[in-house]
Amino acid sequence: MVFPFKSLSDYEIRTRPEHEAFRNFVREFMEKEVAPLVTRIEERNEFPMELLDKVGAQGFQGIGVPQEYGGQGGDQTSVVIFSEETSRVCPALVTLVGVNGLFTTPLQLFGTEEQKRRYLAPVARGEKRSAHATTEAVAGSDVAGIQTRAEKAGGEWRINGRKAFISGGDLADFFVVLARTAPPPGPKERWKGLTMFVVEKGAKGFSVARHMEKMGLRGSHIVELQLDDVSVPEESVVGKEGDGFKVAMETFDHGRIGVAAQALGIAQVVFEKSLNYAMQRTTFGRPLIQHQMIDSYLADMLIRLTGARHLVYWAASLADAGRTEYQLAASMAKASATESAEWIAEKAINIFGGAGVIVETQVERFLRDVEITKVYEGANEIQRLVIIRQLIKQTLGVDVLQA
Amino acid sequence: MPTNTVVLLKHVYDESQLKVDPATGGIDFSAVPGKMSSFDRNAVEEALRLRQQLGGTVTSLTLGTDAAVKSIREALAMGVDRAVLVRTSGETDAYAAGALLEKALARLQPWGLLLCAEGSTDTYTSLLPGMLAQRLGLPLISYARSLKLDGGALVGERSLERKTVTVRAALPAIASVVSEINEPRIPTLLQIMGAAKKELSVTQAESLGVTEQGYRTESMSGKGRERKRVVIEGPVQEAVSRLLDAMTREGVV
Ligand SMILES: Cc1cc2nc3c(=O)[nH]c(=O)nc-3n(C[C@H](O)[C@H](O)[C@H](O)COP(=O)(O)OP(=O)(O)OC[C@H]3O[C@@H](n4cnc5c(N)ncnc54)[C@H](O)[C@@H]3O)c2cc1C
Repeated sequence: MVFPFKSLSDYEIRTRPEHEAFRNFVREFMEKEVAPLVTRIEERNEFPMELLDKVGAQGFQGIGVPQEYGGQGGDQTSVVIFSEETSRVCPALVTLVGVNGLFTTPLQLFGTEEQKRRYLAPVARGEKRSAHATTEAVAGSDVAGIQTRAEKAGGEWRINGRKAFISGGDLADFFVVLARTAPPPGPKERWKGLTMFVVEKGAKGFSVARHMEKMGLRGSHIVELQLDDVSVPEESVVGKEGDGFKVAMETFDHGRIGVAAQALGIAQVVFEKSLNYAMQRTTFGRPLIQHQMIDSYLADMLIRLTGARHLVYWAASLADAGRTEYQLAASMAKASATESAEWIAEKAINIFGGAGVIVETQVERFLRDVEITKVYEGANEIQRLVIIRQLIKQTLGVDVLQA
Repeated sequence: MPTNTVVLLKHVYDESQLKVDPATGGIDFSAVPGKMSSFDRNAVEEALRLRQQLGGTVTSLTLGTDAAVKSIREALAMGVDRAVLVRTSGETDAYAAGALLEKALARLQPWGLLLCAEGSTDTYTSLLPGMLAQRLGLPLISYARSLKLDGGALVGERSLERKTVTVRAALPAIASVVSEINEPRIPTLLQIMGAAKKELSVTQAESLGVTEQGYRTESMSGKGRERKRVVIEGPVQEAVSRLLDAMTREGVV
C-alpha cells in the first residue's frame, strides 16, 4: 500500500494518441484565432462575439457533453487538455467556455430527459450560452447560507433573491439558480431544503442588476442577478426538490479539475516566457540564464510546474477510470496547480524585472488571472477541508465533518 | 456517378524542431517529432471540399513508416473516409516513391481524382506530381490555387511565377495544390475520437513488387551561414547610397 492509495499503479496517468492530437489542434486554434486578439481583449475587457461564436462552432462548449445531446463526448482528460491549452493563450476564455460546464453538468447528472433535450444540445453546439448562479454576496463557500428563496404557488415556483459573482451572466440564455425552498430541519442540517432551478433569460422579474469589476480574467465578466418574483414551472427543478446542495456540490466536483488545468496553462506559459527572456536578456555582460540565482528561480518554476501537471492529469485519469478517489485528487490538483501557478507567475515578474510589470509584455496579466483561480469553484481553504475529509472517508470510512 | 478521390499524405519531420549540432553540422533525426507535411493538409481540405460535388469517398494514401499513423489519424479526423499506409522501413526517394505509389493507386481503383501538395515540407523536391502524371498517363494541374468541377472536368487556376493560368482537364486527373488554395479545417474532439475507429489498411511496400530503385541519401548535414554583420551609420541619404554600393559590391542587386 502506498498510503492513502492501494498501490503504485493507482498513480498512473493514462492518455491516448487522440488526446495528443486534440492538444495540437486546440493549440493551433488558440494560436491562430485567439492569440492575435488577446491584447485587444485585455485592453477593452471585451471578448469579441464573432470569436466566441467560432469557439462555439468548434464544439468547445460541448466537451464532456454526450454525443446524443449534441456534444463532443470526451472525458475529463479532454476537458483538462482544452482548459490548459486555452489558458496558455487566454485564461479568460477558459472561464467563458467553462461556465457552460457548470450549467450542463447538473443537467447531465440530475436533469430529466426533457431538460437534457431542451438545454444541452444548443449549449453544446455553441448556439446558446449558459451560466451557474449559486453564490450570493452573503454566501460563497458557505453554500447553505444563501438567502434566495423559492415558494410554490399554484403549479409554479416563485423565486426571489439576488445572486453575485455570476460568470457569463451577461451573455447567458440559460441559468441554473440555487434557492432555498424549505427551512433547514436543524442547525446540523443546514444543507437540506435547497433546490436547483433552470431559469431562462427574459423571464419576467429576472435581470442583470450590476457588472462587478475584478482584477483579472478580462473579457470574462461577472454580474449580479436580481430575481423579483420570477415564476418558473415545476419542470424547472433540477434533480429532486430539496436536493439542491448535492446538485451544486457534485457540479463543483466535476468542474474543479478544469480550474486546476486553467492554472496549469498559466504556469506553463509564464514559464516558457521566462525561460525565453532569460536566454535573451543580458545584464552585467551575460545572459540572465548565466546568473545562478535566475537559474534557481527557473528550476524551481519547472519543478512546481511539473508537479502540478502530474497532479492535474492524474486526477483526470482517476476521474476517467471512474474512481471515487478522484475527489481527493482533484482538490489536491486544484490547490496545488493554482498556488504553483501563482508562485511561478510572481517569479516570472522577478525575472522580467521592470518589463514584467508593463502590461504590453503580457506577463503581469497572468498573475492577475491566477488569483481568481485560487478563489472560485471552491476556495483553496475549502479544498484543504475537502482533502482531509475525503482522506478520512476513504481510509477510515467516517465523515469527520459530520461528527 | 459518384467519383472517388485519393489524396497523398506524407508524414515528415517537423522542420521547426530540427536541431543542428553547430560543431559537426549533424542532425539527430531521432529527436525530431513528426507531423503531417503542411501543404498536404491543404490537399486533404481540398479533397473534402470537392467530395461534396463528386459524391464519392476520399481515401488517403501514405508511403512511410509506422510513425505516419499520427498524421493519417489527423487526416481521418478532418474527414477522410479511409486510409492506406504503404509501409516502408525508412525514407524513400522520389523516384522509388513514384513507382510504389503507381502500384498502390492501381489497387485503389476506381478513382477519378488524385490530389497532392506541390511539394512536401521536408525534402521539397516537387518531383512526385509530375512523375505520377507521366506514369499514370493522366493530365496534371500543378500548383493549383483554386480547383472546381465544371461539367465533369476539373478546372484549376495555376499559380505561376508571374501569371495565373486557368486550365481544364477531363477526369480522371491529378492536381497538386499550393497552400493558398484553402484554410485547412481544425477537427473537433468528436471527429478526433471518431478517427480512431476509421479504417486504416496497411500494405507492406515489398509486397507491391516494385524493383525500380532511385537514389539513396547517404548523409545529411546542416549548413552554417556566416553573416557579415555590416552596420552602416550616418544620415539617411548618405547611408542609403552606401548601402546600395555595398549591395552592388556583394552582387545582390
Ligand atoms: C471571478 C469570479 C467568478 C465567479 N463565478 C461564479 C459563478 O459563475 N457562479 C457562482 O455561483 N459563483 C461564482 N463565483 C463565486 C465563488 O465561487 C466564490 O467567490 C467562492 O466560493 C468563495 O466564496 P466567497 O467569495 O463568498 O468567500 P467566503 O466564503 O466569504 O470566504 C472568505 C475566505 O474565508 C475562507 N473560508 C471560508 N470558509 C472557511 C472555512 N470553513 N474554513 C477555512 N476557511 C474558510 C475562504 O477560503 C476565503 O479565503 C465567482 C467568483 C469570482 C471571484
